[in-house]
Amino acid sequence: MYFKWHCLLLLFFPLWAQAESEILTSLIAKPDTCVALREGRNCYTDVILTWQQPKIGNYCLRNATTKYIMQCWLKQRTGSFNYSFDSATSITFEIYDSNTSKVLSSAEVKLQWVYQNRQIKRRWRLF
Amino acid sequence: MMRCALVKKIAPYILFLTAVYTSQSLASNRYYADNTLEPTHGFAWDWSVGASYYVEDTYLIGMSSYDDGVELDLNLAVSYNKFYLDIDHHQLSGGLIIGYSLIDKYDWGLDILATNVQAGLDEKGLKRYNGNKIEALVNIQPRNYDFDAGLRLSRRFDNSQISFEYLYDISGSHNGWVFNSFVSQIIPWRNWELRTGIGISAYSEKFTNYYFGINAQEATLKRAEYSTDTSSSVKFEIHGEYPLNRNWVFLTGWLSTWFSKEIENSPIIKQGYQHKVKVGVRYVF
Repeated sequence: MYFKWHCLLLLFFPLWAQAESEILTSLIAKPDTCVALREGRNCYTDVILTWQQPKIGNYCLRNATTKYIMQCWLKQRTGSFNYSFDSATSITFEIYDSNTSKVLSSAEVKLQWVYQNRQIKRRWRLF
Repeated sequence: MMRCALVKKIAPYILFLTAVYTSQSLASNRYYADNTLEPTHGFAWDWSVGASYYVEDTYLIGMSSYDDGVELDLNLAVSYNKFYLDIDHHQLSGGLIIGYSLIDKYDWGLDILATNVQAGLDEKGLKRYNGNKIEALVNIQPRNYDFDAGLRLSRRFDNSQISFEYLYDISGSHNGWVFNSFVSQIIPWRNWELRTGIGISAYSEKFTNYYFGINAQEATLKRAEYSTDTSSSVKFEIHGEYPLNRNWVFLTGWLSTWFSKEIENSPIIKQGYQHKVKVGVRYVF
């Protein structure tokens, strides 16, 4: 019986620990979608990027593609950043440890379009 | 899959309601430039349904200066290489354009096209399908929707476009010509898309007399016989569209039209201008 409980604990502890770590190590973008009227157009929205880590440290937030650093925090565990999204493509952001350069978490703001059809002869009539 | 089935199920009802409940003022073809974007090649299509609340001060006699209501709207746009088809509003009675691009080079375009220009009217005014008889229009003969074919020459600039059309009625309703010129511009501002346009149109004597003339059978003590010459109009409009989410769009717009004295002096016309304002939403599939 004692052995069984031990096995169960051993079996589930890594899952529990992983879930705990995911909760504590996170980067969330709100909203996570930007909708433009038509494909090819830039989309604009105000995104709040919120991050949290399990321990106090030095962290930076950057664009995952361009590696452009948006902000760094010293001796912090949480932080948020207001980002004016202005892009014709989806953007992924990532939070990384500035001491080790290890990427800890990422979040994507996806781009969507209402009108897919871009026929040049299209008539636009409201009345 | 379920969404497609639902769409197929409701589409006939939407078409029917659209045909029954929509009304239209003097229609025109307003071609808006969208020249900053790479156009779709091959087969492309999309369609949408929507509803708008409108307020209108129409030129037709017997109509209130403050006419308001809800209009349903259906739009289908299909293109295949040089062919294009665009249906909106009046599924059964017009609001359709079929075109073929003959030349498209160096920002110039020459198209052959067929479209509806003028909405029909009868004793119920422009709301032929759902309105009540208008006293001032009793005993007038019905004027049918026209269907005109012709050529359009256009020149594109970055965000704007100028076009000239010469169309001739092939439906047999008035058997006259219509000339349209239109300058339009798209102004993107953040996620908004604003469109403005100004146009000048000229209508043949046959067109003007068919829609605005009064013949001997229609003449009464209060409605004199009326015959006139070629006429013209000037239009100004501004639209705004804003994406609410992936499928819903908010729409708003203003349209003003001023008519020449040949139309204004008609016994079935009460004023030489009309204005219309709209606010609505559209679902894009």
